[in-house]
Order: sequence, then structure tokens, then C-alpha cells
Amino acid sequence: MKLRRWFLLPARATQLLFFAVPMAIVVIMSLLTRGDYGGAEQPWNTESYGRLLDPLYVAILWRSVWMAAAATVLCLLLGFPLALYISRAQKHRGLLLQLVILPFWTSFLIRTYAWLFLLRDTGLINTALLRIGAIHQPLPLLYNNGAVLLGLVYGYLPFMVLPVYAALERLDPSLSEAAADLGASPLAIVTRVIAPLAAPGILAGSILVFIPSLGAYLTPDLMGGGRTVMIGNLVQNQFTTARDWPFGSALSLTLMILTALVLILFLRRAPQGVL
Amino acid sequence: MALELLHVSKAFPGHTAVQDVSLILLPGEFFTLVGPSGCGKTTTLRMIAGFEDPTSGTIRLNGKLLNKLTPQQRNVSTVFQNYALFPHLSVEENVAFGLRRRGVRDPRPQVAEALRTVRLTGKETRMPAQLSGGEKQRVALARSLILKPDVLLLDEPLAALDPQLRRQVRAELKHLQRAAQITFLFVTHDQEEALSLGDRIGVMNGGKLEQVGVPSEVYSNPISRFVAGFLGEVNWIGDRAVRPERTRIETAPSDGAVPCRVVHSMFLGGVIQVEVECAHGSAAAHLLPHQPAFSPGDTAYLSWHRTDELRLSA
Repeated sequence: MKLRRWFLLPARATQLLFFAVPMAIVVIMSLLTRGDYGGAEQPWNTESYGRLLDPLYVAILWRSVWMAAAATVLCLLLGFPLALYISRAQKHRGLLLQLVILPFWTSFLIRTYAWLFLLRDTGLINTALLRIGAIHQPLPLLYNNGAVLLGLVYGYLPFMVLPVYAALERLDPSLSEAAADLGASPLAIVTRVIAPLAAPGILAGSILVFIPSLGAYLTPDLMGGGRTVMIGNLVQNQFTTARDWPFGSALSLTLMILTALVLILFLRRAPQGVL
Repeated sequence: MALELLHVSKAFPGHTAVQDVSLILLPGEFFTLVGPSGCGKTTTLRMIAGFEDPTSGTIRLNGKLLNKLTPQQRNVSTVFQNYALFPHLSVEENVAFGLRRRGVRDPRPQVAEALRTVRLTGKETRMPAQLSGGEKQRVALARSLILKPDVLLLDEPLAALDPQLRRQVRAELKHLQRAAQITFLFVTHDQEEALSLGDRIGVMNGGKLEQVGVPSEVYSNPISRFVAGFLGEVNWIGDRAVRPERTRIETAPSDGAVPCRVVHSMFLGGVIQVEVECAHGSAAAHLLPHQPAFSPGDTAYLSWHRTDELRLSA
């Protein structure tokens, strides 16, 4: 018993240092008053939480939720067929999976900048289209909701593909054959047999895409150009330009609680054995 | 004829699984295709079901060419070795699956009827994971039979059952096939299963169909050493081949009898099998329990009727 306690010590210390203490700091800060040059000071108050109900912030929160939901749906629509294709590939399955993971070898920041070079008014796409005369004005490819969505889908697609692939790869191929044998069309085989059986993977992938999308800050910052503000950008603003650390802390906590609620909601409906 | 295979071959990269198989199945017959693992019997089945394309040759069902049709378009159905029941669907929905794909609005009456046929009434709402091996097998049968296929393909459907149950299910399967009057093509590696179930059997070896015929006929008149040895035990005495149950063993020499030494006796229930060693190698003979017994080391003499010898032409 004593030995067991010693072995658990590193885990307990990690939990304390990297989870409990920062969490406590955020909670305490959210209940203080803002300092003139950042930071937080006495007296205690709950004013920061009251400001969350400001329609401006509610709108940002709502936009974050639906952007994250849209990114999740798009990742599923793109990722499921890709995962299915890889799981059915006769050869080079390992290579195809490597290609999905390949972008992780480069910094997310650099990859996002690469999109800027492609999409901006003087970027590769607009320049090429102008050059061949297909358009006369550069297309507004950046700094809008669509650009942010593209960035989110691009960034988090692998998180959908990998768990869905893992679920599909475990499926007994004779189930698809049995479905075909019983007259199911290719579409019916996917919707009636494959997708329901891959549900745990789909659910895991959706959670892995939705949660980081909800809190995303780099992508909306760079590809939304400040116009498409999501809750992550709002939090960042409070700690930098706005110098309102208590409000930033309250926002962070709200985001965390929101994420936890979504997770609970997902897992309530999940079949057993997910995550 | 129900099903016709003409010069069907299937080559995979590196090996030929099926070589020039021609076979005609009659309407309503129970045909068993038997052979060791890797002999091409399952590949043959999969080509008929439409899961594999033949490299050459034609497959026809009631005169209609099947080669280019998808599995969905062929009126044949398969009972898979592992049953391939849909684990997320209840027994009822598994059986209704094919009818729903055909657009039947309310398949329940037909499903109830199919479940009654396989004695699964009352298990409608069970999930596959809650069923025994025998029950799963019956769900798979009901799921296929409800579509009234012209030919039912069964890929070693008894292999996953324990031996006790296998014997019982065998009788049920035969009964079911008679009642449904559907052509069964039953693939197995178990020669006892093949001989007892089939109206006719086909023996496959190395991708080729070696012999087709009525079980008793193929058993007593195998055309090759392989068929003779695969379907039962054979005493190879010089260039003569004879089944142990046709071999007499006696203590006294007689005209033309082969002397041998008894190695051991095995009580098999109905008969006693005496294993012996003679100048040509090992052999066996069957004794009835009331006949005098032999002990290891005894000298004995083997003899048989010339008419009981297997005449192998290949």
C-alpha cells in the first residue's frame, strides 16, 4: 500500500502542478478586479461574469460554437470517405496514413502562413486567376468566416481521420460482403452497416475536432484577420491589449465549462467503449 | 439446371486458386464441395456469390450469365463461416435486412415466419452478441432464406460449432433444405460432413475439381489416390487399395492373405479398429465387438474380396 502511494506520487504532483494550481489561479483571478496595467487586484467581485451576458460576447460565443460545429461536420464529410478509402486500400496503407499525419511535422503556425500565401489578394491563387484573365478583381479568399472554417478543417482533419480509420480497420470485411449479398446498395452498406459500426470512431473524431476548434485562436486570428473573432481571440485580447485579466479568466472558465458540457452531452449518447 | 460453372478459373497474383472447374448443380439438390484448406472451394463459392471475379470461364444461374453481375444483382445468398451477423442490429432486424433493402414496408410477418422455421421465435429482440453459436448460425440461415435465393451458398457454416452441436445442426440443415427446396452449395473441409449431407459431393484438390458424384459412389469408387485418402482411410497394400472396413483380420492364414503384426486395437464404439504393420507398411482393419480380440504383438492375416479393392484411374 505504501509502495503504491510512492509510485503514484509523480502523477499526483503532475496533477497538482499542471492542473489544480493553474485552475485555481484562473478561478481566483476571475473573481478579482482588473489592475490598471494588467494583472488583478482586490477587491473581490463577480462583475466579470456579469459582463459575459453582454450581447456582443454572447454573439462571439455563439459564433465560436457554430464555427466549431461546422468544422466538425466538414471534417466528418471529408474524413470519413478518406478513412474508408485508406482502410480498404490493398497496398500502401501505412504510407497513406503517414500522408495524413505528415503535416504535423511542420509547425501549425508555418502551415497557416502557407495558407495566407495561397489565399491573400496577391497570393498564388488570385495572381494565377488574374493572370489567365478568369477574374478582374482579386477574390476575397481571406479574412472571412469561410477562410477561418477552411483553416479549422485543414488543421483538425487528421484528428477525425485517425480515430475513424481505427474504427473502420477493425470492422470485419465480411459484414460489408454480407450486406451486399443481401442486396444493400453501396450507399446503404455505408449508411446501414459501416457508419453505425464505426460510430465510436466517428464520435471520438468529432470530439477531437470540436473541442480544439471551439477554443481555436491562431487560425481565426491569422485567417480571420481580426474580423472573425472567436472566443479564443477574445480571451487572448483580454490578456494583451485590453489588459482585463479577470474578464479573460472568466471567459476561459466559461469556455472550459462549455467544452465539458458538450463532452458530457456527447458521451451520454455514446455507445460503450468510446474513449 | 440451377447453377452452371463452365471452365471457371481464378488466378491471384502468385497463385492459381481455382483451375478449370466445371460443375452443374441441379434444382433443389444439396451439393457439398469438400477439400483440404487452400483447395479453392471457398474461392469457388465467392465467385458464385460475386465477391470475386473469375479470371476465365462462365457462371450461369438458370441460364443467365452471372459473371458481370454485382452480388446485389445475383439471386444467390451466402451463409458466412463466421455468420457475419450485423452486431448493431437485433435478430429481427438482421433477418429483415434484405427485405428492407428490397423496399418491403413491413417485413415483420415474413421475419416471424422465417424465425419460426429456424426455431428462433421469442429471440427477436436479442442482439447477436447475446446468442449462442448455434443460434447465430440459424439467424444467418433465416437472413438468407427469407430472400428465397435460387442457390444458398454455405461456407463451412458448422466449423464454428462444437462437435456435439454440429451433428444435430447437420440433421436440421438437411431437413430445412428439403423443406425449402432450395439448392444448397455447402463448402466444408470435413469429409464426414460432406458425405452425410450431400445428395452429391465434389472433391477439390489444388484448385481442381477431382471428382463429382453421389457420396456412396465417390467413397467406394474414388478415381484418385487423393480422393480415396481424403474421404476415408485406405490400406495401401502393394499396388492394391482397400478400405479398413472391407479388410478382414484373422488369426489363421488363408489363401492370398497378407501376414502382419498387430500394433494396437482401438475401441471406436460400434467397431474395433485394429492397427497393424505388414511388409507394405501400416494398415488397419475393423472388427465387430463380438469377434475375438487382438493384442499388440499378435501375428494376424489380412484378406479382402477382390471386388472391394478401390480401382483408382488417376
